[in-house]
Amino acid sequence: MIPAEQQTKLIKLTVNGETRALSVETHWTLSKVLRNECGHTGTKEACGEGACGSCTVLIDGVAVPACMVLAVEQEGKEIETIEGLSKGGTLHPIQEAWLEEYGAQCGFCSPGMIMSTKALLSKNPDPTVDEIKEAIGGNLCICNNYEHIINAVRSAAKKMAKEQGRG
Amino acid sequence: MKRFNHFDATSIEDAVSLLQKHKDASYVIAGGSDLVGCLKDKIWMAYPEAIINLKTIPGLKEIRTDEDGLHLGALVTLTEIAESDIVKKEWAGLAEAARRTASALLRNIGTIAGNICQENRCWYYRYPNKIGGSIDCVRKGGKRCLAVPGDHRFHSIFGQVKKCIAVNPSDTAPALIALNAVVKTTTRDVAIDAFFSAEMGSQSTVLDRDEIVTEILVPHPAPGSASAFRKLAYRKAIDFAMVNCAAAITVEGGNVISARICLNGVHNNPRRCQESEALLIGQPLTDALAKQAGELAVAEAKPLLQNIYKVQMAKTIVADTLMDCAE
Amino acid sequence: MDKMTSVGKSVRQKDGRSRVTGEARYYADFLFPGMLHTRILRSPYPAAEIVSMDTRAAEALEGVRLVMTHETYPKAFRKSLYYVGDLVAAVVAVDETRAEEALELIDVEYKTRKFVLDLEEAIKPDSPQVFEGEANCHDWAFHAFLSDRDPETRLFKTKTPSDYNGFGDIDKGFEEADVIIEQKGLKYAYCKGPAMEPRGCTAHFDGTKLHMHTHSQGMHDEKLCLAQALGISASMLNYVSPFTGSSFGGKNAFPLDRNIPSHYLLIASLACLDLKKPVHCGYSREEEMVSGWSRGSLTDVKIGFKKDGTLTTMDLAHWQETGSGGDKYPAKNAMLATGSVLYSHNCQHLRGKIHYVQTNRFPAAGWQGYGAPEGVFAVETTMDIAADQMGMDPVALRRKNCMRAGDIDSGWDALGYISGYISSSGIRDCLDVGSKHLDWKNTWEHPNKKSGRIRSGLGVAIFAMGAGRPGPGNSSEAMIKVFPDGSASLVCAIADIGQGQHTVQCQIVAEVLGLPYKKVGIVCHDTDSTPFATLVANSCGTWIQGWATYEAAMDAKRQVLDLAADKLGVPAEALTMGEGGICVTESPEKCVSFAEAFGKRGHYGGIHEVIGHYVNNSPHPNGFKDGKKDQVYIPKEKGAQFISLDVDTDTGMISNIRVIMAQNVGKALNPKVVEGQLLTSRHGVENAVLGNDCIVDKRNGWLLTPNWVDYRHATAMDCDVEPLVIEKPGDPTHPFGATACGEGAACPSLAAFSNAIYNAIGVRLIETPFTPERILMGLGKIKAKGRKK
Repeated sequence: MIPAEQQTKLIKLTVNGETRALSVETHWTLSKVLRNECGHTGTKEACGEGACGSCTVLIDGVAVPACMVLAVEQEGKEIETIEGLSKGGTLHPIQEAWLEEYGAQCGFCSPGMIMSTKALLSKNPDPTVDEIKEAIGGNLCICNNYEHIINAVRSAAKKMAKEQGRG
Repeated sequence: MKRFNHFDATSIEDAVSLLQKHKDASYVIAGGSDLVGCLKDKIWMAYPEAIINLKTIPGLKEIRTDEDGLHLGALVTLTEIAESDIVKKEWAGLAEAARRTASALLRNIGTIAGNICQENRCWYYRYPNKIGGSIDCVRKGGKRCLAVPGDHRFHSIFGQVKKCIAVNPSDTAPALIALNAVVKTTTRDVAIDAFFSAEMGSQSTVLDRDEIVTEILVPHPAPGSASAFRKLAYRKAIDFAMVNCAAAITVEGGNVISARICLNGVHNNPRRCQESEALLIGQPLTDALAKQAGELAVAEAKPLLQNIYKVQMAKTIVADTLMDCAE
Repeated sequence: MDKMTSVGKSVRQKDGRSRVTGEARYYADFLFPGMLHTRILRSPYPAAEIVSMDTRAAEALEGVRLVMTHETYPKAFRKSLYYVGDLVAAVVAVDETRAEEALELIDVEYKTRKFVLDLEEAIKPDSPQVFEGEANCHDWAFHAFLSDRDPETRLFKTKTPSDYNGFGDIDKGFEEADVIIEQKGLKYAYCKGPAMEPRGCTAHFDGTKLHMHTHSQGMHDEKLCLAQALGISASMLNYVSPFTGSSFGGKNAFPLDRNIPSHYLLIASLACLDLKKPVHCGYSREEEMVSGWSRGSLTDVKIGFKKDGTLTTMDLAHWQETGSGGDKYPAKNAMLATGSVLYSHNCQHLRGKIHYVQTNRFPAAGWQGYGAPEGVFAVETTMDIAADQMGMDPVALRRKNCMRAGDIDSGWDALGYISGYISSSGIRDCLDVGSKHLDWKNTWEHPNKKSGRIRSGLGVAIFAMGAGRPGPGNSSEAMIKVFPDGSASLVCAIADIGQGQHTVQCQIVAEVLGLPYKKVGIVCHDTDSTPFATLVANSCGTWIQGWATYEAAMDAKRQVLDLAADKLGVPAEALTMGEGGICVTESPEKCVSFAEAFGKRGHYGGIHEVIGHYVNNSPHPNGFKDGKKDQVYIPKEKGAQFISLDVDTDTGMISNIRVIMAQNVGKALNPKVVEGQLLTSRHGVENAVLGNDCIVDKRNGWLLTPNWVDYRHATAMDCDVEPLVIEKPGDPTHPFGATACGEGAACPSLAAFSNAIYNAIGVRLIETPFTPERILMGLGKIKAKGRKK
């Protein structure tokens, strides 16, 4: 029988700017904690093994499959989920672009796809089509809406460049 | 996933002592992209008692170069390698291998040490517990390898090790072999050629139970060198290779003076193609010679009924990778 | 409708905002306090009986609330098991971890039976029977011979039960043919029906009513079925399904049939009703992978032509796998590719023998195309062989023979009518546009002119897909509420599984009422708040729901106009409705606002909303030719697909895949939505060249690809799809001339790939998937079976 002393831990997570203390079981994945403990159900789970990207969130700005990382190992990290993208009811330019270009069909991949896009555009503000494809290569869209999604990423890049120019 | 004890190691010594304390039922976790999958599917005979986190150990995430070569901390991610300008320039084959591994997302968590230590992807070995229970294959104490009489379309074309015909799935392993890397562990320096060993249990390396990879050192290539990596997989992302290949060639005065070629996805361990390497020495690298090297690379192949195609792939990819080096 | 303001525009997705913010709630996003979690114990054997079970240790585990077995819950579990992964027992516990731990404590003794894992093996008379006492291979129960053709209407008047579907005289047809092309053994691999969101549900009892939160393609159908299966009254059950994470036909639940993979509904409902606690039962990806497979067929095709390429005779024998007793109906849709529909234009003699076959593999469910892709694969591959042998251009041969508007759909389906008119086609336009796009005339070359290591190929295939069926069982209703502030709500139950129905139906309302699209809302999330709508299947939503929505809006509009006419003192016909209110058409300055038209209202009276309603008990009256009830128009989804690719003759790998999908949609109600539907062609790419197949261990029945690493869905990097939307007006079956668009994209790809590969390397592949191994064998680069010397 496993001694229980190391099976539950108290961690501090900053999720979308809000820091909270959470008691987590050591085998819980980050996606489970975000969904069930934090109520951020925008993070989806579809394959459970990092092969579809539905659960993509940003950890310290890096896009990762949240179903494959243990929550207990995220102590002190900054987590950003789809819920953190729009500010004060105003959609993020990536979300706007998604609506314009019809980036979502069933929408189940959209939160993860959008988070991968956010990570891409923060590293590479003007990606080529091939760079976009590579960046979202681990995000499956079973509706196969990739052409629309790629258009949405390109349009988001333009919008964000415009905003940057203004700012 | 079931419960386990989780420890954040504070130092390499701490991690080693935790491994020693939880002798048989402990694993270290780096990126976790392989381990968490194994835990979720409960593929092992015994579920681990302790998981020891290496990410809390300072100093394992550095990429640096000095006169000895490229030092890759064990926890450097595949993304960091793929995007490193210095790696792309001097160790192109490694950068490409990292870039072709899995997907952008998994490369963000997957580490170089994890990638060379990962377990095989044999679909019998990894059959998930959730749909009828995991399978006792020969690696888990079963009497026979189930892939031999079963479906082995992606399995070894160079025979078996201890009855098992699973292949090593790593993309970076052949690149590191071609580039003659050294794996530094808590107890020793292991030449990469001697690092892989699918001899027992779930392990794919010579590491002892309480031994941890700390760094990988890739020497500077000699002047006139070039390296390359190629991968044949159904998809351009996510998939493991049906066959992959890395090669590093040094040319002087128009002739090859040194060559290292490694295939993977073809045998339990990455397979160096030494006969092919020897063939190249002293000759100019031409298309015809590369093809000959490809033929030699599979001269010893013993494919099974369903994977003969991999022999054809392997010889082609060897020739193609060599010609990439020539460019 | 000369100038349309909403229909035909790529307006934003109605519920798009919540999809991109993470606010959209799919079933697993409904979290209830005190919710219990379920894990399922599944069979390790492909065929076994449960001899005994001991659940005491599991029940005793802390946190376990219920252990369910065939003894305690016979509605959800069986003593006999038919495939690896079949349901043995379930544990309901306070969390998933405890449930999972408890599963390991259940002790089961099994007695194994003989099993069969292969369609061809299963057909053999001495094969082990999947279901004891029942042959594995079944003839289609509604085979019928059509005769007695009316010379004037061209419709068949007599339908006689037969042992095949068809008409004419098949023997005479082949006797009189100048050229006969026969291809046997065309095999479409059994593939997993895809969906991003795995199956599952959460049941919640509120003291009075059971609320079932789940994904759905047809809430009302599923609700009635579940209530019946549970033995509770339908009024006690509310089915809640605001969002579905794609389905493609596969997640259609039918809990009354024990072989259809919708057991989660029964497990969660029964546990919830007994424990009076919310119960979540969601399948992991691995469990999803043993639920709901599709395709899987074996087909022989024989076609007779005249010298000039006119197709006069067609014979097809088709066997379709259903796994262990899954959906048996897709088999019939192979007929769509025959002289019954797709090649109805010239075909005089037709025979189609349809069979479905049970095996101990995973139960079948519907999937985009619902059997049509298998038939199209077989026929369109054979048509290409025919073009090659007759020295004809593959596009020209299809152009000559494909169905046209007004051709006869010859009653291949088990329907009330005998035969009917194909309402529109446009396949020739699709062929023309696609050929032009690829410069086919100048780029297409015979394979014997190609050489070199990398060889390019072009392939084409056409298709026809059913588009809902005019007849009983395909009714849908709509209610439109118009409010005094000039906004409106559409209340209807049509499911939006990603195909855009919520958006498109609101566009129809906006168009009819003359309101801006943004002023139209939708109420669609559960059965309690909506009237009946048939499930979205067979790409029928656009016209079956479309008519209901259109007519309900017309009904509401009439009522509002009547109210305004009263106020303005002019006849209703003289009025126009728009955003600002209702105006006299000839003198637009004379207007009343909606509020003014509605009149005074308060707590004690007045009109607070105007409600329009319509039941489309299809066919809609416009669906009859000249209003004659015995002359029905049958809509079809149709088009042509072109594939361009490169084959590496040294590795057998295929690259640079371009899919050009040309489809006549009549009227694109929302062009972006329509394009999105055409992009789903990638499913064909997956089945063709990503190596997907139902790979089971032949000695043990284990699925060897039970995850998304080993079972491959296309990524953004694997091919490009170019949608060509063609709008050929005049289809009478839709208020705006639209025809179905959805499932068609799944139909032509496999044949188009086979044809493109042949065109590249001169190797004809008739078994999917088209793997490097099969390509290399075809090229003679490796020897088939047996060790390499």
